[in-house]
Amino acid sequence: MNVRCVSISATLSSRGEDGLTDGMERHVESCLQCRREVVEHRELQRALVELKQVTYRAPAEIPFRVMDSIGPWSVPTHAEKRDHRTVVAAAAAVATAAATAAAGTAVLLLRHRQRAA
Amino acid sequence: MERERVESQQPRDLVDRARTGDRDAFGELVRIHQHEVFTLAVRLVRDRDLASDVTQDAFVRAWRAMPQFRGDAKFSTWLHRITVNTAWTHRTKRNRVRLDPLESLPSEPESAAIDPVRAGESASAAPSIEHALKGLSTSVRSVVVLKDIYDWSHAEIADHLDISVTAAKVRLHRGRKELRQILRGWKDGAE
Repeated sequence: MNVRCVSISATLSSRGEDGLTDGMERHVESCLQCRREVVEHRELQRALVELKQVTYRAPAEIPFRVMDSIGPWSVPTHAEKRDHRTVVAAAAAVATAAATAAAGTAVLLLRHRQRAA
Repeated sequence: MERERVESQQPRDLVDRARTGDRDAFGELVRIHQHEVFTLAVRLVRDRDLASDVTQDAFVRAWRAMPQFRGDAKFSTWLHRITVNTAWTHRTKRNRVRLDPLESLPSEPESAAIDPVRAGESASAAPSIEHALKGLSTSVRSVVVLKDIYDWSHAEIADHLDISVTAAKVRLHRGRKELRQILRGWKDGAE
């Protein structure tokens, strides 16, 4: 196997027959080793293409396992999303009011202590 | 013709319903796509039990991500991407707890492990190439499977396997070369 043969073998593996230059193709015609490489490359590509048509049967329990795993949860509907947003907004309002009240109380306490001092 | 049109629209309708949280529609999608997802999983992880787990997990992930599925790609293509990511996650987890890598698992005859759904359609070269694929390392095999069987681009493969495009090309080159050598060895042995 000379340098050209190695180069052709590498080209077939990386870019396929389309990657072969005119010079390489001329060499293939006269080289038994490279002709064999090209034939084997074609056989391999044909076999890989055939695999696209082969499908393996999944175990029968797969659909049940999947449906058990996903549980009764479902994607919230638009109305549910709206309700959820309302609840979140109300909770945020209550939290803000509580924080404001706490801050106010703290300020009053501080002033009271300052006066007492 | 009309029937073909109606049949091709059914999955689209199912996808739309599943996106809005319809479990029954999603269940139907699972029944339709389970074999192709399992097939991809088997080719990636080379282990029937692990492939079952990957298939289940991929569908669970798909269900959770259904609201984000915009329909830019085909549903099956989207499902394949999820399957590849899931297989990769499972493989990483498994390698973390097992000292022996998947490559060292003994190969068993395909027929004993999994039954082709369309045995009649399987051409003579397919079983031998499937068997030859088992001889490749997981990292190399994944690239060959995704490129030569599922027609992914180098960029897609690199993105999903978290490798560079150059690494994807190198692995493809190595994988095809090794496959040719494996097949040549079998052929020479038979002669």
